[in-house]
Amino acid sequence: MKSKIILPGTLIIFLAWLGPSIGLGRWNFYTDKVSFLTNKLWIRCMDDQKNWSSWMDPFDHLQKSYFSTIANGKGKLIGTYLGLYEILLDEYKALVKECEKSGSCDPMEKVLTTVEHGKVKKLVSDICLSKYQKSEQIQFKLMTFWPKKYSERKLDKRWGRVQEISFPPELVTKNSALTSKEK
Amino acid sequence: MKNFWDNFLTKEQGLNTIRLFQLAFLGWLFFHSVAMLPYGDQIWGPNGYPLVDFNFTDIRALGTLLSFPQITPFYQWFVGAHLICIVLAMFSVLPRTMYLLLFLLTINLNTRALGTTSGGTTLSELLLLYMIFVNTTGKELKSSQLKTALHNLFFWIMRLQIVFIYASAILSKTQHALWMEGLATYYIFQSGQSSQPWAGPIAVSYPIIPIFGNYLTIAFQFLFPLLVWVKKFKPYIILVGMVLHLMMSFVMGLFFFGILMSLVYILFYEESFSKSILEFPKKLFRGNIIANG
Repeated sequence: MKSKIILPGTLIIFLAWLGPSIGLGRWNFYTDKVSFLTNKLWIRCMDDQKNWSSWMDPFDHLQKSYFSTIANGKGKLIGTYLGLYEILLDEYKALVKECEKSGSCDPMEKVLTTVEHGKVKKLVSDICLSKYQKSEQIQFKLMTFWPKKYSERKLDKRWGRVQEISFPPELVTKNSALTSKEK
Repeated sequence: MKNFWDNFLTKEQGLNTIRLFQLAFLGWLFFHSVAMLPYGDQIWGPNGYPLVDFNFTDIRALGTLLSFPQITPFYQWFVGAHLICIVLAMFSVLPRTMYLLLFLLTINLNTRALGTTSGGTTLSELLLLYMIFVNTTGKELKSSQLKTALHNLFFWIMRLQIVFIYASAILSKTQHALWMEGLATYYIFQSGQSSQPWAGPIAVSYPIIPIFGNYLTIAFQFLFPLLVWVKKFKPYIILVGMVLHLMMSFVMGLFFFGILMSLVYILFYEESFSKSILEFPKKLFRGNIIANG
């Protein structure tokens, strides 16, 4: 009697596990998405004397340090920072499409009011305030580097194409979170 | 067939294999959390940088507790409890309860730190869920028919999950022109995020290397779901998989993902092989005692 209940029961559990993945078209849910692109957040800060610093990649040393040792949590920290870059870029792209359709809006103006922009602005503010305590303004741009095409492999250039989305200078968001480890 | 079903209901399968797998998997999970601890404030803390601020008030709140501003400052308690549960599960102290707690704690830590997640973390959550239903003690317990059936079912589900990952990966690749043309790894190696800095120049100067890697990956992902069930070919397909995933760890920088995927192959080990690995430290210890008089 028990086996009459248990066997169909186990089959139902199995189908309940497999069904949603296939039925909802989420069969590629488990696969890792590896990027062909190189995304970088470039920032500059207004220093204590109110002069702009040069453009810098604040995570460059972290990335180099991660790849030199690999078996540590720095890669996860980079993922946290660059994840913010990606959600802001996705939001901006969506707004560009939306504004192209309506023909009556400025995607940059709109993206400045989004939560995603606020998150990146907070990160950049924290970095600038950790470098210059009296920094009042920040600016950042989203850089995307495309690899060289196979047909371009013998050309003397580092990247195939570079895209830059530049945000206007803004006042810092005060609430520093970075510790000395990440400065 | 009748014999299979009788065994399915009366005898727990793969006890040594599951015990070996759980030790390796929990070791990975422990190291995964410990490696992020020095950066805990940025990854989980109240002044951190979460990608999404969850605001659920229904059952989903159970998996997003760390998003509540009142709870976020106590993220160290979550990490601490996570590590303690891992150690207790390793020593088989209330294993099913520990796996349930680990599942909930892991989901909370991962959803707070979405930027750190990958296919590997998704897989680890699923494996923790499945482990609730299997006997991980390595010893035959006098279980009810239902518990035995669940153990055997979820042991199969865990292995099918791995096969399913490769089947879905190969389906995804067949829809991607660059993988089919053999150039995907040529481009991946040039990415500053997905590869060691020295990999890009090598890929551009000697494209035959990434092209070979591209087709080897496709061949492996296509063959794994088929050959891993054939005793004669199993060791070879697992060896190729381990080489590919360790390369992902150390060349592409997907360290935790690559290591986890290398460890999940344990689920396919023959029971006698798993047993000999588990007994190896004991034999070594005994040998040392005899040698030292």
